[in-house]
This record gives sequence, structure tokens and C-alpha cells, in this order.
Amino acid sequence: MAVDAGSERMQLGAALRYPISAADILRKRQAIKRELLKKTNLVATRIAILGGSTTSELKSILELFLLAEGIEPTFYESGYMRYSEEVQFENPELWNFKPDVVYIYTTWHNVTRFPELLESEAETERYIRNEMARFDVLWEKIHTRLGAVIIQNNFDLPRLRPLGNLEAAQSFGQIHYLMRLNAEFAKHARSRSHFFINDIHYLSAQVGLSAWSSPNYWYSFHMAVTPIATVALAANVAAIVKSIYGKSKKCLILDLDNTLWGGVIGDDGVQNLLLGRDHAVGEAYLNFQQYVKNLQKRGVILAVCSKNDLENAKEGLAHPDSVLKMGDFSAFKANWNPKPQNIREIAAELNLGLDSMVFVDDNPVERALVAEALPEVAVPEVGSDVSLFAEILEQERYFEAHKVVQDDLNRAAFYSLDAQRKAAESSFANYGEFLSSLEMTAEIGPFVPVYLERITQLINKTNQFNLTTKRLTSAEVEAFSQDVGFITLCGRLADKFGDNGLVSVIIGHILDDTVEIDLWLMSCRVFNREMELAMFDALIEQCQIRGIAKVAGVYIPSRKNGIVAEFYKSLGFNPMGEKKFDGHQSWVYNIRAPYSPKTRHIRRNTELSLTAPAADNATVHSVA
Amino acid sequence: MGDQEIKASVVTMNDASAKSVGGKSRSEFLIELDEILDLPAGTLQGNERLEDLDNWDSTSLITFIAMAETNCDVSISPAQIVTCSTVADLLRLAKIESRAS
Repeated sequence: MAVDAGSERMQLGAALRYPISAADILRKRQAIKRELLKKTNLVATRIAILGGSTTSELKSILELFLLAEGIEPTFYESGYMRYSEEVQFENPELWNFKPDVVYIYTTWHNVTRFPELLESEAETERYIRNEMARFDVLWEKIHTRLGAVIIQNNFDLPRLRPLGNLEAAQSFGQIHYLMRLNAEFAKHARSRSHFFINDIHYLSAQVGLSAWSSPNYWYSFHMAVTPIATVALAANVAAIVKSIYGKSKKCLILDLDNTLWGGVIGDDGVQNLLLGRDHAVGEAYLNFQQYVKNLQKRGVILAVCSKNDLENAKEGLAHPDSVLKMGDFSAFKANWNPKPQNIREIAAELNLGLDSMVFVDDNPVERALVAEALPEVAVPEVGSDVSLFAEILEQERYFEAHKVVQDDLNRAAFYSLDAQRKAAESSFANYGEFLSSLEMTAEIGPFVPVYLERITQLINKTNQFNLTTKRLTSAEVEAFSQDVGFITLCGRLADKFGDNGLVSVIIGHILDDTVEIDLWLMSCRVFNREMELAMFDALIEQCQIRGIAKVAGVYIPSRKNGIVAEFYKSLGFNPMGEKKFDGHQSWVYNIRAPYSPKTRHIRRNTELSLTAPAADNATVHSVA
Repeated sequence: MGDQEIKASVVTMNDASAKSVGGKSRSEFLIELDEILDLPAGTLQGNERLEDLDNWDSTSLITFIAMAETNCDVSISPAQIVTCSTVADLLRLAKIESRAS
């Protein structure tokens, strides 16, 4: 049978997308890997897998899911079941590997001791304390010695329940004990910014215990999880890593008819739409709207792209049972233009890359059109059954979040305020007058602990105004903030319309009389507001305080940061040497006294307010 | 059952593309083995010696066991695979071919 090579390549490339066939992935893993390695601009990461059982299958499948997300891993794999020993004792191989991520692959098989039958609650509690102490030592050693992000499996469910249903309720029951340990692990995760749980308790239930583990694999290979279930597990770990590296999607674009409600509003009228709890299909649409609303609440930007008259579309969202309202959408295209054109316009309006977008439409023709015209946009094959839409979105893990910060909760509001700014701008003939009218104030200062989460998020999500596209883990950001050999600055910008939150970050290391900028980025939220000038003024001030005479910077081109190719030149930097073959260009700025601030339209505070409203500073650990 | 029907059923059982217990035909299973061993589809014919196959290693062994379970509902242990020396032996373990044929 002749095989169409092009078609086969497409199938390989799509193998890790819904609907996933674990069997296909296992069989074709080598061919899939070859196909994925053709991707460009892969982000390198170093992952140490510390195993409580055999990890070879996990490593091989995890690599595929990471490559699919644009992340190229180099692995360290511990000796068999040596997840604890390799950390506790001197281990030059692991220390020299310098992992960015340490993944601790333990399962219920690695619990040291379960309570005995009828053992007291107090004794059970002592076992829990002992088990937690063991893990605490391990986690602390990894954090202090390696400074890596830690991903830790919680505990899955065992296949057997010797005590039957008593296992869940009695303190000496194994299931109850594992759930208590999982609660303790979760508590640890809530208090550590660098520590994340890989929820195999959930996964083992989702896959089904009979498919999750098998006596054959355990006794033959000491594989705690079957190869088929390892695919789901690897996908889950990859989702956490991709979120840490800022590769989760940012925007969900939705059709309206038969996607957010049942029926075609232009034909059926709003009164005949299926939406609400008095109809099975209507209830399914209502629940999907609620799911989407929950995504929006934790920072996913929503947009509409619908073939409808605008007035009909608005009327549909004004349906009394509609959970989603006009104000929930940061961009709204209801017209008869081709959907790819509308989506390009949405991306431009929101200043987001097409590759940060997911498009959901019940119509396979529209889906195919967008997928063909805009291959960067994720277009899941959701089918036409609304009761499955949310599940399919979840399986793709597009919007995986490893943390939720208050800034995420305010994201939709930011876009709404921006719309007001744009409207105001149109009434000014002179852009400088418009900027003055905004009454902007900036707070710029060194990194402070309360902002580290948002700083890390910005570092890993910002693509356009980003001079080096250097990505850092939260542990690394924390380390820089405490290192006197570095200058760190973060800035927030507010104006009369509202607070944009933390929007810009600079990290530079000091070398003699020069500060070399490792990282300078700014959120697209505040383009063309002079915030970059305010950050530069703050940087020069810090240099003058420290007696630094020069600022050096390098522009490292990426697919998305072309707008800052000449940024250093615009500030008055001079090029250092010729541009390299890969486009890298070094620049230097000689600080002369007196320095004349470049900012004209922003009033600057020199310190970040540590008494900012609690809502801005809190880290919210919520699950969508 | 009449003579014609018996003949038809016998022909079906001897057909090379006859379905196995789990629904996978011999040719389909061989193509899946090609994929596991990263060989072009249609390479394996069934008489190859395992020791001559470059990619026959622990990873492909585990994947083979997973395929037998998934496709054929057959549980295979490494101890059983150790007794195999050819691809045909693997197919018999997965009950793709009967020992009599």
C-alpha cells in the first residue's frame, strides 16, 4: 500500500493532539520524535527525573509532549528507585547536570509504611509526619542545592482494597492514608512558589485503575504505571512544564450559533435559542458557557468570531440565561467576513500572537478553513456535541496554569480599559497631548518578594518587547533578586483609566564599571506609552548610585521581537562590533553626567508600593 | 450448515488476512511491529530472527506487550518473550497466528 509521505508527516505531527491514541504514540514514538525535532526555536530545558520505579517509558513519552510544545529537553534519569538517595548523598553527576526542573516520579508503591489494621489515629498521624519529614528533607535539599523547580507526583490509587469501602473512611485504611498524604503534599505546594503537584491521584481515576496499573508490568518491569497510562501521565507533566515556560495559550475565540447556544439566532430568533436548564441541550450549552466563564475569570482572554449580524449576536448574549455577556469578551467580530480574516484582526487588536489563540467552532468547514489559513492557531476538533467541548479543551490542556495571580483575574478588565484609552486617543490630534492627558504614574524599583510570581510570569510570557527572550524559572528569579551582583527592576504603570499592573522587567549583571542587561521586557499592554523610557531612566539612576559608567545590551532576534531590533539605538546606544550571522547585535551606552531623563509624560515613583491594594499582591491558588 | 457454507468458513479461517481473537489481522499486526521497530511499513514478513532486528530492545519489547494487551486482549510476560526467537514466535504469543498454521 503506497503511503502518502506528506499525509503521514501530518499524522505524525498531529499524533499528540486530540483525539490522542496512546497506542499510536507508543508504536510510532521514534518517527514522531523525528518529525517534532524539525520544529525551530525550541526552548532548551534540563529535566532530572528521580524515579521511585522504572522511568524509561515516562522519559521517552514526556520528551514527545515537550517537543510538541516547543521545548527540547535534556534528561537526567536517576538509578532505579534511587529518587531519594541520589539527592541525599553527594552526587556530582546530578549536581553538575544543573537541572531546571526536577521531576520526582513516586507512586503509592513508594510509601514507606501504611498503618496497621486498627492502629490508632494518633499512630497514623505519626506515620504521616514521618513520611512528610522524609519528603521535606528531599525537597529542601533539591531547592537549596539545585535551585530547580520541583514537580512531584502525589499518590495514585492502588488497585486493591483489602478492607473494601473501609479503606476510605478509617484512619488505618490505605486509601484514607494516601488521601491524607496528598492533602499534606498540596499544603506544601501552596506555600512554595517553585513546587508543583503532578496530580496522578486524579489521573489514575480518569484513566481507570485497571488501565492505570497492572500486576504484569509491576512484577516484570517494576513499572508502576502501564505504558498506555504513561501517555496520559507524560502529557500532564508536559502541561505543567509548558505552563512554567509561558507556553500556555492566552486567548479563546468562540463561534456563537451552536457553540455558545443551541440554534441559529439569525433564523430562530433569541426566544427560540436552546440555552437554559429547562432543556437537556440548553443545559449543556449553559454548562459550556460557565466553563468558558471560569476560564475568563482566571485570565484567559475571550473573543467572539461569528458569522452573524452584530445586533443579532449582541441579542443572543443578552439572553436572560446567558452566563457570558458582551463585557466578557475583549474582542468581538460578528460580521460576514471570512473567519481567518477576523481572527487576524482579533490578534492585532489584542496584540497577541496567533499561536496564543484557540478557536472553537461547531462547524467543521469553518474549523478547516481557519486551520488551513492560520496554522499557528489551535483549532481542536470539537465536533458538534457541546457536551464534549469542555472535555476536549481540557484534554488539550491549552490553558494549563501552574499559578494564578491577581493580575490574571484582572486581565479582561485591562483590555476593557485599553479600549477606553484607544477611544480617548482618537480625540487628540497630537499624540504627546494624548499621553499627557492619561496622567500616567509609574512605580519602578528592585524586585520584591510579593511581585516575584508576576515577574516570573512576565518573563516567560512576553514575546514582542523582549530584547533577549531569556526564560527563567521562579527559583532563578528569586535568586537574582537576592544577588547584589545584579540590578533588578520591575515597573508598574497606572493612568487615569486604571492600573495596568506590573508591566516591565529588567535584569542586568554588574561587571566592573558596566551593567550588562540580561533581560529587558515589557508587556504589550503598555506599548507606546513611554514606559520603556521610564524604565531606562530608573536603570541609569541605579547605575549612577553604584558608580557604573556603562550599560551594555544585546538584541537577540526571535520570531516575534522584531519591533525591538533598533530599540537600543533609539535610546542612544552605540553598536559594539558587527551584527553577527545569527542577527545578534551588541550595544553600549556611556552614561554621562548630568543625565537628562527621557520620560516626558510619566510621573515616576522610585519605589514600588509595598502597601498596594491586597488584591494586586495576592497569589490566588484557584482551579478553573 | 451446507457444504458451501462450511467451505466458505474454512477459507475464511485460512485466509492470511483472517482476523485474530482481538480483531487484528496478521498483516495489520506486522505493520504495527514495523512501526514499533521504526521500519518502513511492509518490511517485516514474519520469518525474521529477533536478534537480527536493530531496534528490538527493552522499549520495543514493552510496546509489543502493550499492543498485545490493547489489540488482542492477551497478557504477555517477558519470560514468555525470552522463549521467542523470531517474529513469527511473537505473533503466536499475541495469538495472531495459531501454532497449527
